[in-house]
Amino acid sequence: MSENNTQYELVLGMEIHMQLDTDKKMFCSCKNDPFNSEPNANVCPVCLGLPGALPVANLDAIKKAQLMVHNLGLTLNDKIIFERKNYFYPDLPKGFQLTCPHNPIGSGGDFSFVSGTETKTIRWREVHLEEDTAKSTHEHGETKIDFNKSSVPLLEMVTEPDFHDIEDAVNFCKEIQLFARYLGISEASMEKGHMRLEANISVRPKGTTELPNYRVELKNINSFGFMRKALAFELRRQSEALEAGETLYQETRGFNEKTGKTFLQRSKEDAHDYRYFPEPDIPVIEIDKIWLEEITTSQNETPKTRREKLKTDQLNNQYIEILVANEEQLKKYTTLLQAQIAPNKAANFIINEAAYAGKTAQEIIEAEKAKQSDKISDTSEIENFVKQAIEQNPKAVEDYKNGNQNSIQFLIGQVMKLSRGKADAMVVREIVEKNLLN
Amino acid sequence: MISQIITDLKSKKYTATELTKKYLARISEQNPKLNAYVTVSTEEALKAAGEADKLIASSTDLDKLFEEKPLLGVPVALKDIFSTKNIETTAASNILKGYIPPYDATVVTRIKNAGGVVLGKLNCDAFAHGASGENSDFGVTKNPYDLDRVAGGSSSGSGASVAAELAVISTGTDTGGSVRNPASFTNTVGLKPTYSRVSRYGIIAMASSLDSIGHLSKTVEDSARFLQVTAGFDPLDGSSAKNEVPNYVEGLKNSAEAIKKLKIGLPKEYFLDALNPEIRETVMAAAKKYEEMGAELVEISLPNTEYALATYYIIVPSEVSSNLGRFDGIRYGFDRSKFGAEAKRRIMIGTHVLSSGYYDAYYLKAQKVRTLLINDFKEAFKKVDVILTPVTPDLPPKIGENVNDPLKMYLMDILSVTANLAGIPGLSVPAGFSKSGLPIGMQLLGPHFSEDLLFKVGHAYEQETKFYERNPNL
Repeated sequence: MSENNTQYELVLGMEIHMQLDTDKKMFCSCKNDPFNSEPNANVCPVCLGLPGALPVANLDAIKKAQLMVHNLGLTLNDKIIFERKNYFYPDLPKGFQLTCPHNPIGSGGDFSFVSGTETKTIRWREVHLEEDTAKSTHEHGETKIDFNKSSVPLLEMVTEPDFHDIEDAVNFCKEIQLFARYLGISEASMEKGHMRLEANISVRPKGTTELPNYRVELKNINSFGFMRKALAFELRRQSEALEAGETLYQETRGFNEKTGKTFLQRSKEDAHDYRYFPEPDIPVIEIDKIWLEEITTSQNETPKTRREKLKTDQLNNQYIEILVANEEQLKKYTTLLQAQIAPNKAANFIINEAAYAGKTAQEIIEAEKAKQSDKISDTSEIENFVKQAIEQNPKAVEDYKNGNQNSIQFLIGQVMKLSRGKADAMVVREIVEKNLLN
Repeated sequence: MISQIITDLKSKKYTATELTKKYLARISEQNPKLNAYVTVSTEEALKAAGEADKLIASSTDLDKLFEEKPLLGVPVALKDIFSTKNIETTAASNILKGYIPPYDATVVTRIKNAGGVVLGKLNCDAFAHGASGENSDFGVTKNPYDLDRVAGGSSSGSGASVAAELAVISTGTDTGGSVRNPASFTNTVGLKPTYSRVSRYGIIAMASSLDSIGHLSKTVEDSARFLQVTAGFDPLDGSSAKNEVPNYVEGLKNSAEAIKKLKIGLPKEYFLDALNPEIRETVMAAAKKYEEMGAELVEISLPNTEYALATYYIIVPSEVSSNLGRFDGIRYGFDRSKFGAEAKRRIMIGTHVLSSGYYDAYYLKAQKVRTLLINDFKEAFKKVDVILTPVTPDLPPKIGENVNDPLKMYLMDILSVTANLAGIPGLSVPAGFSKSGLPIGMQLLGPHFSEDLLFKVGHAYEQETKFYERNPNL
């Protein structure tokens, strides 16, 4: 990053687009499975936009959207109005996209998430539901359009421009991805295109609080890595431009994954006038009290509730974050706990223990049982081995005292060797640490 | 008439195939003169008629068969705006020339399930934009009562085909009068049902919040029989109504009785100064007839009527500009240069009024006026049961008379657009003829979902006057 970054602050709002995992598409009865289907296998007059076909809103998609929106901390709206967003594009067969930006699924509310060692809070603007477009493929001078993706339910989650740090934004997006997976509303795979990111970026001199009078929309970022690079590039580009006395304008940019640079897609002059108006074919959707209560009173596991639970297991934050983010490991952990293995030990087996890498929970349990039967549990015996190891390896002890954390692993290894593998590694670590501190 | 056809088919006086052939022959003879059909689906029609004959031949209970299939063997024609599987559907626009839908509109499915024999597709103003049929890209439809005159619009072929007996019943769409206007010009009965009463699925949209799916027939009874088939909830149309469908035909039995003590409203705003005097006299004579039959005539006011046409011509182009967006030249063969002048006019007006900065002043305001019009009718229907008005301000114009004056063309809708803006049903019933022998219709308006009442009122008058017995000299 260039030096002038220190004088400018990032002002960033995020938009996360997420395909909902429903059986059917958003406005017709076609199967919602664009990733696994032959091109144009799941199409009908409605999602092909044929003359005369009419959209009918998928209530299951609306309920899934509401579940997510409620758990993200927004207020659910009791009225959803789909509108036509009119624009021309080959992958948009009706000439408009159905969306509900003015009477969305939910609006407002705060969202807290962990970023590094801190907890950050941002504000939501709104979350709306819309239909995805078809997919164009360009090859050999031809364009092919696959309508399997046309009208797949797409949730668009929009924040206020509350991010000032790139890593915060990345961690936020990862947390949203986890929420979607916990709530079962989407697989949220970036590779499969379930989740796509857009960023609204501007910069301002550090110390000022006003919102800049321009923003750059960065479209369709499809990995967290690209997001980091694209944001860093924009932060630098915009800071340098302002530093050079240039005026920045509203524009839309894309990210070139090969060059690592962003490029201009559309300037303000070419901005679309979408001519929004309420879709006459879909009557206003009134959400009654019973419906709302069903959503708001349902108990659902989220990354947040899971973290709280793991905290009561006395795990350290590093373990907690790994377990929260990894469903497989979390399942193993739960199984190990059920087999009466202590939480910290269980987490360690799954996350750190090289001998257990790739092993199933059941295999770990079996192995532990076998060890347990001939384990040295007498701490005074272990204590003796530890003293022996310390005496025999003064260099390792000195290294440790000089700050080399790795040498403790060496000493633990020596003790295990002396005990012929029968000492409990956790107990050994405790005793080695205690002795080294003395 | 449908009831006669059913009686004849039951008594084996003729077969459905013979009947279909008779109509197909009449089409080949008369259509070159009238240009009512744009596509004749001979093969499909004969196939459907053959199937009807098989059912009739193998049936042991014909009453039950015709109860289950109330249109069995009945020759029907469809405005070319109804999607028909495997039959070209053009909306009478060059841009859709060659488009063959892979699916049937819900109404078409219902007609087929009821045993109806689809003879072909009917001419209309392109995308239903117009009140004279002159905006068709495939030539104007001529009025069977005077070949120099238009047959009305936009469902021009629908009116002409029924009047000239090229179909027993024809479907139409009515966004601002497109069923009632040609009905009044061709001595036929035209129903514009309550918005949402009949599914719009598969019918090429003009203005989605106004499009009502109706039909034209010789008699009110046929109209009732047909609505019995087409009306009702359709899960494929999110706006379609779940209200129960009454037995319309049964309701006609005591129609004369229903007129006694009926309060008929005559809204002063609809009897304009510019109204053709012959139309005024004819409609007032009809009102007097009702009075003789025991009805009470009440002069009423629908005070916001003067804003209706302006409101209509904001909402319609807005929705049109969006609905026609899909004809982008990528999927349907022809590019946008194939749009006719009227479509282009509506796309431009609609695009303008929906633009940011203009939306509130035009579209939103128009929607508010729409609410005022709905309230006008609500107030009126507290005082009267039905409303009686002229359908159009003038007699069928000569072909070419209004084509260079869009505003004059738009004024033809002035008395019919209000029903669409308010979503209420309207029935155009033959009321008489001008001195020169041109048909004159009258319009009956009722509250939402009062089609059964409109049928009764129209039927009672029809029984007294029997204008359906008078056919054009072709």
